[in-house]
Amino acid sequence: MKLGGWIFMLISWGIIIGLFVYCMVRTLTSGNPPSGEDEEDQPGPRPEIRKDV
Amino acid sequence: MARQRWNSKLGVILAVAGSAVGLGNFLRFPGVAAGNGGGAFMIPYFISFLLLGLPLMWIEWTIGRFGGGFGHSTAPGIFHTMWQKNRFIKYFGVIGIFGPVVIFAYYTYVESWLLGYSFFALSGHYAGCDSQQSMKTFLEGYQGLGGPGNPHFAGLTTAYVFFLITFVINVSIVSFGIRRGIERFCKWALPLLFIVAAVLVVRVLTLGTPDAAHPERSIANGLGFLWNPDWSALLRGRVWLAAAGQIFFTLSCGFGVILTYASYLRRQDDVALSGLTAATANEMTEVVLGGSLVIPAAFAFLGPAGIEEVALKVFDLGFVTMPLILQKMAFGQAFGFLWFFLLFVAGVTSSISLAMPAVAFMEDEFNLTRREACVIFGIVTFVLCQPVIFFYGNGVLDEMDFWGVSVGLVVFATIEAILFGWIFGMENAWTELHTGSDIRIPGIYRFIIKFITPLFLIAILVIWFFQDWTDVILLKTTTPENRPFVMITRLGLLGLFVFLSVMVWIVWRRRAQREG
Repeated sequence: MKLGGWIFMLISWGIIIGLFVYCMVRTLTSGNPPSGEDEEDQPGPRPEIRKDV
Repeated sequence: MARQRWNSKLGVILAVAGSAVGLGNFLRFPGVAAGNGGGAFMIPYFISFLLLGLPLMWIEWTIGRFGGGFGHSTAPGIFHTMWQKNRFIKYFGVIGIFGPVVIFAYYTYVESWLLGYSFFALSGHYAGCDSQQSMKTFLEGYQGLGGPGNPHFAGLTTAYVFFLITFVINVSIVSFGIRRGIERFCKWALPLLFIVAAVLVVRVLTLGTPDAAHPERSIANGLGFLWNPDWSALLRGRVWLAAAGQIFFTLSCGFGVILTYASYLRRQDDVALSGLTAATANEMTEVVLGGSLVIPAAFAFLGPAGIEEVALKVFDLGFVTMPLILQKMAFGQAFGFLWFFLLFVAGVTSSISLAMPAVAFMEDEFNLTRREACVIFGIVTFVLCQPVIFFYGNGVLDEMDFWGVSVGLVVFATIEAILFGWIFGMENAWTELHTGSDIRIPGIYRFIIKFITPLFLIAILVIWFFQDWTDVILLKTTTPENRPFVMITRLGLLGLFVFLSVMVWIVWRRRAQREG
Protein backbone atom coordinates (compact mmCIF):
# COMPACT_ATOMS: atom_id res chain seq x y z
CA MET A 1 0.00 0.00 0.00
CA LYS A 2 1.22 3.48 -0.85
CA LEU A 3 1.70 6.23 1.75
CA GLY A 4 -1.45 8.00 0.49
CA GLY A 5 -3.45 4.83 1.06
CA TRP A 6 -2.23 4.47 4.65
CA ILE A 7 -3.02 8.16 5.31
CA PHE A 8 -6.55 7.86 3.90
CA MET A 9 -7.24 4.65 5.76
CA LEU A 10 -5.98 5.89 9.12
CA ILE A 11 -7.71 9.28 8.86
CA SER A 12 -11.00 7.63 7.83
CA TRP A 13 -10.77 5.08 10.62
CA GLY A 14 -9.80 7.81 13.10
CA ILE A 15 -12.76 10.04 12.22
CA ILE A 16 -15.28 7.20 12.36
CA ILE A 17 -13.97 5.47 15.48
CA GLY A 18 -13.53 8.82 17.25
CA LEU A 19 -17.08 9.90 16.46
CA PHE A 20 -18.49 6.51 17.42
CA VAL A 21 -16.66 6.47 20.78
CA TYR A 22 -17.76 10.08 21.49
CA CYS A 23 -21.39 9.21 20.71
CA MET A 24 -21.36 6.03 22.78
CA VAL A 25 -19.78 7.78 25.77
CA ARG A 26 -22.36 10.60 25.55
CA THR A 27 -25.18 8.09 25.16
CA LEU A 28 -24.12 5.92 28.07
CA THR A 29 -23.34 8.80 30.43
CA SER A 30 -26.30 11.10 29.69
CA GLY A 31 -28.76 11.28 32.53
CA ASN A 32 -31.90 10.55 30.54
CA PRO A 33 -33.97 7.72 31.99
CA PRO A 34 -34.91 4.64 29.96
CA SER A 35 -37.48 5.31 27.28
CA GLY A 36 -40.46 3.81 29.10
CA GLU A 37 -41.75 1.44 31.64
CA ASP A 38 -45.27 0.75 30.48
CA GLU A 39 -45.07 -1.88 27.79
CA GLU A 40 -48.45 -3.19 26.81
CA ASP A 41 -49.28 -5.90 24.33
CA GLN A 42 -52.54 -4.38 23.23
CA PRO A 43 -52.66 -1.49 20.77
CA GLY A 44 -54.45 1.69 21.62
CA PRO A 45 -54.23 5.46 21.69
CA ARG A 46 -51.20 7.03 23.26
CA PRO A 47 -51.37 8.33 26.80
CA GLU A 48 -49.75 11.61 25.88
CA ILE A 49 -51.38 12.68 22.62
CA ARG A 50 -50.20 16.19 21.86
CA LYS A 51 -51.97 18.99 20.16
CA ASP A 52 -51.50 19.29 16.45
CA VAL A 53 -49.04 21.79 15.00
CA MET B 1 -54.15 1.29 27.06
CA ALA B 2 -50.50 2.27 26.80
CA ARG B 3 -48.36 1.64 23.77
CA GLN B 4 -45.21 -0.39 23.49
CA ARG B 5 -42.02 1.45 24.44
CA TRP B 6 -38.30 0.88 24.14
CA ASN B 7 -36.76 -0.23 27.37
CA SER B 8 -33.54 1.79 27.02
CA LYS B 9 -31.86 4.38 24.85
CA LEU B 10 -29.10 1.93 23.96
CA GLY B 11 -31.75 -0.59 22.93
CA VAL B 12 -33.32 1.66 20.31
CA ILE B 13 -29.88 2.77 19.03
CA LEU B 14 -28.78 -0.86 18.61
CA ALA B 15 -32.06 -1.69 16.88
CA VAL B 16 -31.67 1.17 14.38
CA ALA B 17 -27.98 0.37 13.87
CA GLY B 18 -28.96 -3.27 13.38
CA SER B 19 -31.48 -2.23 10.77
CA ALA B 20 -28.75 -0.33 8.91
CA VAL B 21 -26.00 -2.94 9.26
CA GLY B 22 -26.56 -5.61 6.65
CA LEU B 23 -24.94 -7.48 3.80
CA GLY B 24 -24.10 -4.20 2.05
CA ASN B 25 -21.69 -3.17 4.81
CA PHE B 26 -19.51 -6.23 4.26
CA LEU B 27 -20.04 -6.97 0.57
CA ARG B 28 -21.20 -3.85 -1.29
CA PHE B 29 -19.12 -1.07 0.29
CA PRO B 30 -15.63 -2.52 -0.31
CA GLY B 31 -16.40 -3.31 -3.96
CA VAL B 32 -17.92 0.11 -4.65
CA ALA B 33 -15.04 1.94 -2.91
CA ALA B 34 -12.35 -0.07 -4.69
CA GLY B 35 -14.03 0.49 -8.06
CA ASN B 36 -14.48 4.25 -7.58
CA GLY B 37 -11.14 5.76 -6.68
CA GLY B 38 -10.13 3.80 -3.57
CA GLY B 39 -9.10 6.21 -0.79
CA ALA B 40 -10.25 9.20 -2.84
CA PHE B 41 -13.77 7.70 -2.79
CA MET B 42 -13.91 8.51 0.92
CA ILE B 43 -14.06 12.26 0.16
CA PRO B 44 -17.43 12.14 -1.67
CA TYR B 45 -18.46 9.38 0.74
CA PHE B 46 -17.96 11.56 3.83
CA ILE B 47 -19.49 14.61 2.11
CA SER B 48 -22.57 12.51 1.24
CA PHE B 49 -22.70 11.27 4.80
CA LEU B 50 -22.77 14.85 6.14
CA LEU B 51 -25.17 16.30 3.55
CA LEU B 52 -27.46 13.37 2.89
CA GLY B 53 -27.12 10.48 5.34
CA LEU B 54 -27.00 12.33 8.64
CA PRO B 55 -29.82 14.81 7.83
CA LEU B 56 -32.05 11.96 6.66
CA MET B 57 -31.26 10.03 9.80
CA TRP B 58 -32.31 13.01 11.96
CA ILE B 59 -35.41 13.64 9.82
CA GLU B 60 -36.64 10.06 10.21
CA TRP B 61 -35.95 9.89 13.94
CA THR B 62 -37.69 13.24 14.49
CA ILE B 63 -40.82 12.68 12.43
CA GLY B 64 -41.10 9.15 13.79
CA ARG B 65 -41.14 10.35 17.39
CA PHE B 66 -43.46 13.22 16.41
CA GLY B 67 -45.96 10.89 14.70
CA GLY B 68 -45.78 8.46 17.60
CA GLY B 69 -47.12 11.23 19.83
CA PHE B 70 -50.33 11.09 17.79
CA GLY B 71 -50.56 7.30 17.92
CA HIS B 72 -49.12 6.71 14.44
CA SER B 73 -46.12 4.47 13.82
CA THR B 74 -46.14 4.42 10.05
CA ALA B 75 -45.71 6.93 7.25
CA PRO B 76 -49.37 7.33 6.13
CA GLY B 77 -50.47 8.50 9.56
CA ILE B 78 -47.30 10.45 10.28
CA PHE B 79 -47.34 12.29 6.92
CA HIS B 80 -51.03 13.10 7.40
CA THR B 81 -50.33 14.48 10.87
CA MET B 82 -47.57 16.70 9.47
CA TRP B 83 -49.70 18.04 6.60
CA GLN B 84 -53.35 17.69 7.54
CA LYS B 85 -54.56 20.10 4.89
CA ASN B 86 -53.45 17.74 2.15
CA ARG B 87 -55.79 14.81 1.50
CA PHE B 88 -53.30 12.89 -0.60
CA ILE B 89 -50.06 12.98 1.37
CA LYS B 90 -51.05 9.85 3.35
CA TYR B 91 -51.05 7.88 0.09
CA PHE B 92 -47.41 8.85 -0.52
CA GLY B 93 -46.78 7.42 2.94
CA VAL B 94 -47.92 4.03 1.63
CA ILE B 95 -44.42 3.72 0.10
CA GLY B 96 -43.13 3.47 3.68
CA ILE B 97 -45.09 0.22 4.17
CA PHE B 98 -44.95 -1.12 0.61
CA GLY B 99 -41.14 -0.90 0.32
CA PRO B 100 -40.32 -2.80 3.54
CA VAL B 101 -42.89 -5.54 2.75
CA VAL B 102 -41.44 -6.06 -0.73
CA ILE B 103 -37.85 -6.06 0.51
CA PHE B 104 -38.73 -8.42 3.38
CA ALA B 105 -40.16 -10.89 0.87
CA TYR B 106 -36.85 -11.41 -0.93
CA TYR B 107 -34.39 -10.42 1.79
CA THR B 108 -35.46 -13.28 4.08
CA TYR B 109 -34.78 -15.71 1.23
CA VAL B 110 -31.24 -14.36 0.67
CA GLU B 111 -30.78 -14.37 4.43
CA SER B 112 -31.72 -18.05 4.52
CA TRP B 113 -28.84 -18.82 2.14
CA LEU B 114 -26.52 -17.46 4.84
CA LEU B 115 -28.02 -19.76 7.45
CA GLY B 116 -27.65 -22.65 5.01
CA TYR B 117 -24.04 -21.79 4.22
CA SER B 118 -23.25 -21.46 7.97
CA PHE B 119 -24.36 -25.06 8.28
CA PHE B 120 -22.49 -26.12 5.11
CA ALA B 121 -19.29 -24.48 6.38
CA LEU B 122 -19.37 -26.46 9.62
CA SER B 123 -20.43 -29.72 7.99
CA GLY B 124 -17.90 -29.40 5.18
CA HIS B 125 -20.60 -29.63 2.48
CA TYR B 126 -18.72 -27.38 0.04
CA ALA B 127 -15.25 -28.56 1.14
CA GLY B 128 -14.74 -30.34 -2.19
CA CYS B 129 -15.19 -27.14 -4.19
CA ASP B 130 -11.70 -25.83 -4.83
CA SER B 131 -12.24 -23.38 -7.68
CA GLN B 132 -14.46 -20.38 -8.43
CA GLN B 133 -16.34 -22.46 -10.99
CA SER B 134 -17.05 -25.41 -8.70
CA MET B 135 -18.14 -23.08 -5.87
CA LYS B 136 -20.43 -21.29 -8.30
CA THR B 137 -21.92 -24.62 -9.35
CA PHE B 138 -22.57 -25.36 -5.68
CA LEU B 139 -24.35 -21.99 -5.26
CA GLU B 140 -26.42 -22.48 -8.41
CA GLY B 141 -27.43 -25.94 -7.27
CA TYR B 142 -28.55 -24.52 -3.93
CA GLN B 143 -30.57 -21.80 -5.68
CA GLY B 144 -32.23 -24.38 -7.91
CA LEU B 145 -30.54 -23.02 -11.04
CA GLY B 146 -28.31 -25.99 -11.74
CA GLY B 147 -30.90 -28.26 -13.31
CA PRO B 148 -31.13 -32.01 -12.72
CA GLY B 149 -27.43 -32.53 -13.48
CA ASN B 150 -26.16 -30.46 -10.54
CA PRO B 151 -23.72 -32.61 -8.51
CA HIS B 152 -24.58 -30.99 -5.16
CA PHE B 153 -28.35 -30.48 -4.94
CA ALA B 154 -31.23 -32.34 -6.58
CA GLY B 155 -33.70 -29.46 -6.15
CA LEU B 156 -34.83 -26.67 -3.89
CA THR B 157 -35.68 -28.79 -0.84
CA THR B 158 -32.59 -27.85 1.18
CA ALA B 159 -32.94 -24.14 0.35
CA TYR B 160 -36.63 -24.27 1.24
CA VAL B 161 -35.99 -25.84 4.66
CA PHE B 162 -33.48 -23.11 5.55
CA PHE B 163 -35.91 -20.49 4.23
CA LEU B 164 -38.69 -21.82 6.51
CA ILE B 165 -36.39 -21.71 9.54
CA THR B 166 -35.27 -18.15 8.71
CA PHE B 167 -38.83 -16.98 8.08
CA VAL B 168 -40.09 -18.41 11.38
CA ILE B 169 -37.17 -16.82 13.28
CA ASN B 170 -37.99 -13.40 11.81
CA VAL B 171 -41.74 -13.48 12.43
CA SER B 172 -41.23 -14.93 15.93
CA ILE B 173 -38.90 -12.11 17.00
CA VAL B 174 -41.34 -9.49 15.70
CA SER B 175 -44.28 -11.22 17.41
CA PHE B 176 -42.60 -10.71 20.78
CA GLY B 177 -42.86 -6.96 20.26
CA ILE B 178 -40.56 -3.99 20.51
CA ARG B 179 -39.14 -4.56 23.96
CA ARG B 180 -39.20 -8.32 24.43
CA GLY B 181 -38.57 -9.18 20.79
CA ILE B 182 -36.62 -6.65 18.73
CA GLU B 183 -34.79 -4.82 21.51
CA ARG B 184 -33.80 -7.97 23.37
CA PHE B 185 -32.59 -9.63 20.16
CA CYS B 186 -30.59 -6.60 18.98
CA LYS B 187 -29.00 -6.12 22.40
CA TRP B 188 -27.14 -9.38 22.06
CA ALA B 189 -27.00 -9.66 18.27
CA LEU B 190 -25.18 -6.36 17.59
CA PRO B 191 -22.38 -6.86 20.15
CA LEU B 192 -22.04 -10.46 18.89
CA LEU B 193 -21.85 -9.19 15.32
CA PHE B 194 -19.08 -6.70 16.24
CA ILE B 195 -17.12 -9.40 18.07
CA VAL B 196 -17.39 -11.94 15.22
CA ALA B 197 -16.45 -9.27 12.65
CA ALA B 198 -13.48 -8.20 14.77
CA VAL B 199 -12.27 -11.82 15.05
CA LEU B 200 -12.45 -12.21 11.27
CA VAL B 201 -10.71 -8.86 10.68
CA VAL B 202 -7.84 -9.84 12.99
CA ARG B 203 -7.54 -13.18 11.16
CA VAL B 204 -7.47 -11.50 7.74
CA LEU B 205 -5.06 -8.73 8.74
CA THR B 206 -2.61 -11.26 10.16
CA LEU B 207 -2.54 -13.36 6.99
CA GLY B 208 0.56 -11.52 5.73
CA THR B 209 1.52 -13.05 2.39
CA PRO B 210 -0.32 -16.37 2.21
CA ASP B 211 1.34 -17.53 -1.04
CA ALA B 212 5.13 -17.26 -0.93
CA ALA B 213 5.28 -17.78 -4.72
CA HIS B 214 3.39 -14.46 -5.14
CA PRO B 215 4.98 -11.99 -2.71
CA GLU B 216 2.99 -9.09 -4.23
CA ARG B 217 -0.24 -10.75 -3.09
CA SER B 218 -0.11 -9.47 0.49
CA ILE B 219 -2.77 -8.17 2.86
CA ALA B 220 -1.04 -4.74 2.86
CA ASN B 221 -1.34 -4.56 -0.92
CA GLY B 222 -4.94 -5.77 -0.59
CA LEU B 223 -5.67 -2.83 1.69
CA GLY B 224 -3.87 -0.68 -0.88
CA PHE B 225 -6.28 -1.92 -3.58
CA LEU B 226 -9.08 -0.44 -1.49
CA TRP B 227 -7.37 2.64 -0.04
CA ASN B 228 -4.71 3.93 -2.50
CA PRO B 229 -6.26 7.20 -3.71
CA ASP B 230 -6.96 7.77 -7.39
CA TRP B 231 -7.41 11.54 -7.50
CA SER B 232 -8.73 11.56 -11.06
CA ALA B 233 -11.84 9.73 -9.76
CA LEU B 234 -12.98 12.94 -8.06
CA LEU B 235 -13.52 14.52 -11.46
CA ARG B 236 -15.95 11.79 -12.49
CA GLY B 237 -19.66 12.39 -11.69
CA ARG B 238 -20.24 8.64 -11.57
CA VAL B 239 -17.98 8.38 -8.51
CA TRP B 240 -19.90 11.08 -6.60
CA LEU B 241 -23.17 9.39 -7.48
CA ALA B 242 -21.82 6.01 -6.32
CA ALA B 243 -20.77 7.55 -3.00
CA ALA B 244 -24.19 9.17 -2.50
CA GLY B 245 -25.89 5.88 -3.40
CA GLN B 246 -23.75 3.90 -0.98
CA ILE B 247 -24.48 6.31 1.90
CA PHE B 248 -28.15 6.30 1.03
CA PHE B 249 -28.55 2.53 1.01
CA THR B 250 -26.26 1.77 3.94
CA LEU B 251 -28.06 3.90 6.53
CA SER B 252 -31.53 2.37 5.99
CA CYS B 253 -32.96 5.85 5.46
CA GLY B 254 -35.93 6.09 3.14
CA PHE B 255 -37.32 2.66 4.00
CA GLY B 256 -39.77 3.96 6.59
CA VAL B 257 -38.37 1.60 9.24
CA ILE B 258 -36.48 4.18 11.31
CA LEU B 259 -39.56 6.34 11.69
CA THR B 260 -41.50 3.30 12.90
CA TYR B 261 -38.80 2.47 15.46
CA ALA B 262 -38.63 6.13 16.57
CA SER B 263 -42.42 6.29 17.00
CA TYR B 264 -42.05 4.13 20.12
CA LEU B 265 -39.97 6.83 21.83
CA ARG B 266 -41.37 9.25 24.35
CA ARG B 267 -41.70 12.95 23.71
CA GLN B 268 -38.66 13.80 25.88
CA ASP B 269 -36.42 11.03 24.53
CA ASP B 270 -33.36 12.24 22.63
CA VAL B 271 -33.28 11.78 18.86
CA ALA B 272 -30.30 13.94 17.81
CA LEU B 273 -27.56 12.02 19.61
CA SER B 274 -29.31 8.68 19.10
CA GLY B 275 -29.52 9.24 15.34
CA LEU B 276 -25.86 10.23 15.19
CA THR B 277 -24.81 7.23 17.29
CA ALA B 278 -26.75 4.77 15.14
CA ALA B 279 -25.25 6.31 11.98
CA THR B 280 -21.66 6.16 13.27
CA ALA B 281 -22.15 2.57 14.49
CA ASN B 282 -23.15 1.66 10.95
CA GLU B 283 -20.18 3.58 9.47
CA MET B 284 -17.74 1.86 11.79
CA THR B 285 -19.08 -1.54 10.77
CA GLU B 286 -18.89 -0.61 7.11
CA VAL B 287 -15.60 1.28 6.75
CA VAL B 288 -13.45 -0.19 9.53
CA LEU B 289 -14.72 -3.79 9.69
CA GLY B 290 -16.33 -4.29 6.26
CA GLY B 291 -13.41 -2.61 4.47
CA SER B 292 -10.86 -4.88 6.16
CA LEU B 293 -12.35 -8.23 5.26
CA VAL B 294 -13.36 -9.16 1.74
CA ILE B 295 -11.10 -7.06 -0.46
CA PRO B 296 -7.79 -7.61 1.38
CA ALA B 297 -8.51 -11.34 1.71
CA ALA B 298 -9.56 -11.72 -1.93
CA PHE B 299 -6.51 -9.77 -3.10
CA ALA B 300 -4.15 -11.91 -1.05
CA PHE B 301 -5.52 -15.14 -2.51
CA LEU B 302 -6.62 -14.14 -6.03
CA GLY B 303 -4.21 -11.34 -6.87
CA PRO B 304 -5.04 -8.03 -8.61
CA ALA B 305 -6.45 -9.63 -11.78
CA GLY B 306 -8.70 -12.04 -9.91
CA ILE B 307 -10.10 -9.42 -7.60
CA GLU B 308 -11.05 -7.02 -10.38
CA GLU B 309 -13.23 -9.78 -11.78
CA VAL B 310 -15.27 -10.27 -8.61
CA ALA B 311 -15.08 -6.92 -6.74
CA LEU B 312 -18.46 -5.61 -7.89
CA LYS B 313 -20.37 -8.91 -7.87
CA VAL B 314 -21.87 -8.85 -4.40
CA PHE B 315 -23.30 -12.38 -4.30
CA ASP B 316 -20.21 -13.89 -5.92
CA LEU B 317 -17.97 -12.17 -3.37
CA GLY B 318 -20.01 -13.46 -0.45
CA PHE B 319 -20.99 -16.94 -1.58
CA VAL B 320 -18.26 -17.96 -4.02
CA THR B 321 -15.02 -16.08 -3.35
CA MET B 322 -15.09 -15.80 0.44
CA PRO B 323 -15.86 -19.47 1.26
CA LEU B 324 -13.15 -20.45 -1.19
CA ILE B 325 -10.63 -18.17 0.48
CA LEU B 326 -11.63 -19.10 4.02
CA GLN B 327 -11.23 -22.79 3.14
CA LYS B 328 -7.58 -22.16 2.36
CA MET B 329 -6.88 -20.82 5.86
CA ALA B 330 -6.10 -22.86 8.94
CA PHE B 331 -9.39 -23.67 10.76
CA GLY B 332 -11.16 -22.77 7.51
CA GLN B 333 -14.40 -24.49 8.50
CA ALA B 334 -14.68 -22.47 11.72
CA PHE B 335 -13.88 -19.18 9.96
CA GLY B 336 -16.29 -20.06 7.15
CA PHE B 337 -19.01 -20.60 9.74
CA LEU B 338 -18.17 -17.30 11.46
CA TRP B 339 -18.31 -15.43 8.12
CA PHE B 340 -21.77 -16.70 7.16
CA PHE B 341 -23.10 -16.51 10.69
CA LEU B 342 -21.92 -12.88 10.86
CA LEU B 343 -23.83 -12.05 7.69
CA PHE B 344 -26.87 -14.01 8.86
CA VAL B 345 -27.07 -12.05 12.13
CA ALA B 346 -26.60 -8.79 10.20
CA GLY B 347 -29.42 -9.90 7.89
CA VAL B 348 -31.85 -10.77 10.70
CA THR B 349 -31.35 -7.43 12.49
CA SER B 350 -32.27 -5.76 9.18
CA SER B 351 -35.21 -7.96 8.18
CA ILE B 352 -37.02 -7.72 11.53
CA SER B 353 -36.99 -3.94 11.09
CA LEU B 354 -38.53 -4.37 7.63
CA ALA B 355 -41.44 -6.28 9.16
CA MET B 356 -42.29 -3.56 11.66
CA PRO B 357 -44.02 -0.90 9.50
CA ALA B 358 -46.69 -3.31 8.21
CA VAL B 359 -47.23 -4.89 11.64
CA ALA B 360 -47.40 -1.46 13.33
CA PHE B 361 -49.84 -0.22 10.66
CA MET B 362 -52.26 -3.04 11.43
CA GLU B 363 -51.88 -2.50 15.18
CA ASP B 364 -52.32 1.28 15.07
CA GLU B 365 -54.90 1.75 12.37
CA PHE B 366 -56.97 -1.46 12.60
CA ASN B 367 -56.61 -2.01 16.36
CA LEU B 368 -55.37 -5.57 15.87
CA THR B 369 -53.31 -7.21 18.58
CA ARG B 370 -49.65 -7.72 17.79
CA ARG B 371 -50.13 -11.47 17.46
CA GLU B 372 -52.99 -11.00 14.97
CA ALA B 373 -50.95 -8.47 12.99
CA CYS B 374 -47.95 -10.83 12.90
CA VAL B 375 -50.07 -13.75 11.68
CA ILE B 376 -51.50 -11.66 8.82
CA PHE B 377 -48.07 -10.25 7.98
CA GLY B 378 -46.58 -13.75 8.05
CA ILE B 379 -49.22 -15.16 5.69
CA VAL B 380 -48.98 -12.29 3.19
CA THR B 381 -45.17 -12.18 3.05
CA PHE B 382 -44.92 -15.98 2.96
CA VAL B 383 -47.04 -15.93 -0.20
CA LEU B 384 -44.92 -13.09 -1.64
CA CYS B 385 -41.73 -15.09 -0.97
CA GLN B 386 -42.80 -18.02 -3.14
CA PRO B 387 -42.21 -16.43 -6.58
CA VAL B 388 -38.80 -15.22 -5.35
CA ILE B 389 -37.82 -18.78 -4.43
CA PHE B 390 -39.28 -20.67 -7.37
CA PHE B 391 -38.59 -18.09 -10.10
CA TYR B 392 -35.30 -16.75 -8.76
CA GLY B 393 -33.58 -17.26 -12.07
CA ASN B 394 -36.26 -15.36 -13.98
CA GLY B 395 -35.58 -11.86 -12.68
CA VAL B 396 -38.32 -11.78 -10.00
CA LEU B 397 -35.93 -10.82 -7.19
CA ASP B 398 -34.28 -8.10 -9.28
CA GLU B 399 -37.66 -6.61 -10.17
CA MET B 400 -38.74 -6.51 -6.51
CA ASP B 401 -35.37 -5.01 -5.55
CA PHE B 402 -35.76 -2.32 -8.21
CA TRP B 403 -39.19 -1.11 -7.04
CA GLY B 404 -38.69 -1.74 -3.33
CA VAL B 405 -35.17 -0.36 -2.94
CA SER B 406 -33.97 1.67 -5.93
CA VAL B 407 -37.20 3.56 -6.64
CA GLY B 408 -39.03 3.33 -3.30
CA LEU B 409 -36.16 4.58 -1.18
CA VAL B 410 -35.27 7.65 -3.19
CA VAL B 411 -38.87 8.72 -3.76
CA PHE B 412 -39.81 8.21 -0.10
CA ALA B 413 -36.71 10.01 1.19
CA THR B 414 -37.32 12.96 -1.15
CA ILE B 415 -40.93 13.28 0.04
CA GLU B 416 -40.04 13.15 3.72
CA ALA B 417 -37.16 15.64 3.32
CA ILE B 418 -39.45 18.17 1.59
CA LEU B 419 -42.24 17.53 4.07
CA PHE B 420 -39.92 18.04 7.02
CA GLY B 421 -38.07 21.16 5.88
CA TRP B 422 -40.80 22.93 3.91
CA ILE B 423 -44.28 21.79 4.91
CA PHE B 424 -43.73 21.08 8.59
CA GLY B 425 -41.51 24.17 8.55
CA MET B 426 -37.89 24.58 9.59
CA GLU B 427 -38.80 26.31 12.87
CA ASN B 428 -41.06 23.44 13.96
CA ALA B 429 -38.58 20.90 12.61
CA TRP B 430 -35.61 22.40 14.48
CA THR B 431 -37.59 22.66 17.73
CA GLU B 432 -38.86 19.10 17.39
CA LEU B 433 -35.36 17.78 16.59
CA HIS B 434 -33.90 19.40 19.72
CA THR B 435 -36.69 18.44 22.11
CA GLY B 436 -35.08 16.27 24.79
CA SER B 437 -31.82 16.37 22.85
CA ASP B 438 -28.52 15.43 24.48
CA ILE B 439 -26.49 17.38 21.90
CA ARG B 440 -26.85 20.68 20.06
CA ILE B 441 -26.75 20.19 16.28
CA PRO B 442 -24.67 22.86 14.47
CA GLY B 443 -26.84 25.67 13.08
CA ILE B 444 -25.55 25.05 9.53
CA TYR B 445 -27.81 21.99 9.46
CA ARG B 446 -30.89 24.24 9.38
CA PHE B 447 -29.70 25.30 5.93
CA ILE B 448 -28.55 21.81 4.93
CA ILE B 449 -31.82 20.12 5.94
CA LYS B 450 -33.96 22.75 4.26
CA PHE B 451 -32.06 23.25 1.00
CA ILE B 452 -29.13 20.91 0.40
CA THR B 453 -30.61 17.52 1.34
CA PRO B 454 -33.83 17.90 -0.72
CA LEU B 455 -31.86 19.26 -3.70
CA PHE B 456 -29.33 16.43 -3.40
CA LEU B 457 -32.19 13.90 -3.37
CA ILE B 458 -33.99 15.49 -6.32
CA ALA B 459 -30.73 15.47 -8.29
CA ILE B 460 -30.20 11.76 -7.52
CA LEU B 461 -33.82 11.02 -8.45
CA VAL B 462 -33.56 12.79 -11.81
CA ILE B 463 -30.12 11.40 -12.72
CA TRP B 464 -30.99 7.82 -11.78
CA PHE B 465 -34.31 8.06 -13.58
CA PHE B 466 -32.72 8.97 -16.90
CA GLN B 467 -29.45 7.08 -16.44
CA ASP B 468 -30.62 3.75 -15.04
CA TRP B 469 -34.33 3.46 -14.39
CA THR B 470 -35.79 4.07 -17.83
CA ASP B 471 -34.03 1.03 -19.27
CA VAL B 472 -35.27 -1.17 -16.43
CA ILE B 473 -38.83 0.20 -16.63
CA LEU B 474 -38.90 -0.37 -20.41
CA LEU B 475 -37.52 -3.92 -19.87
CA LYS B 476 -34.43 -3.18 -21.95
CA THR B 477 -32.25 -4.90 -19.34
CA THR B 478 -34.50 -7.99 -19.21
CA THR B 479 -33.97 -10.99 -21.46
CA PRO B 480 -36.96 -11.85 -23.71
CA GLU B 481 -37.61 -15.17 -21.93
CA ASN B 482 -37.77 -13.45 -18.53
CA ARG B 483 -40.13 -10.65 -19.60
CA PRO B 484 -43.40 -12.49 -18.76
CA PHE B 485 -42.11 -13.23 -15.22
CA VAL B 486 -40.98 -9.64 -14.72
CA MET B 487 -44.28 -8.23 -16.01
CA ILE B 488 -46.33 -10.51 -13.73
CA THR B 489 -44.14 -9.47 -10.79
CA ARG B 490 -44.63 -5.82 -11.71
CA LEU B 491 -48.42 -6.24 -11.86
CA GLY B 492 -48.34 -8.05 -8.52
CA LEU B 493 -46.38 -5.21 -6.93
CA LEU B 494 -48.80 -2.67 -8.40
CA GLY B 495 -51.67 -4.70 -6.94
CA LEU B 496 -49.98 -4.70 -3.53
CA PHE B 497 -49.51 -0.93 -3.66
CA VAL B 498 -53.15 -0.37 -4.65
CA PHE B 499 -54.31 -2.76 -1.90
CA LEU B 500 -52.30 -0.86 0.75
CA SER B 501 -53.65 2.46 -0.56
CA VAL B 502 -57.22 1.14 -0.28
CA MET B 503 -56.48 0.06 3.31
CA VAL B 504 -55.32 3.61 4.09
CA TRP B 505 -58.48 5.00 2.46
CA ILE B 506 -60.68 2.67 4.56
CA VAL B 507 -58.90 3.68 7.77
CA TRP B 508 -59.40 7.40 7.16
CA ARG B 509 -62.98 6.92 5.99
CA ARG B 510 -63.85 5.03 9.16
CA ARG B 511 -62.14 7.67 11.24
CA ALA B 512 -64.08 10.44 9.49
CA GLN B 513 -67.34 8.56 10.06
CA ARG B 514 -66.52 8.11 13.76
CA GLU B 515 -65.76 11.79 14.14
CA GLY B 516 -69.01 12.65 12.35
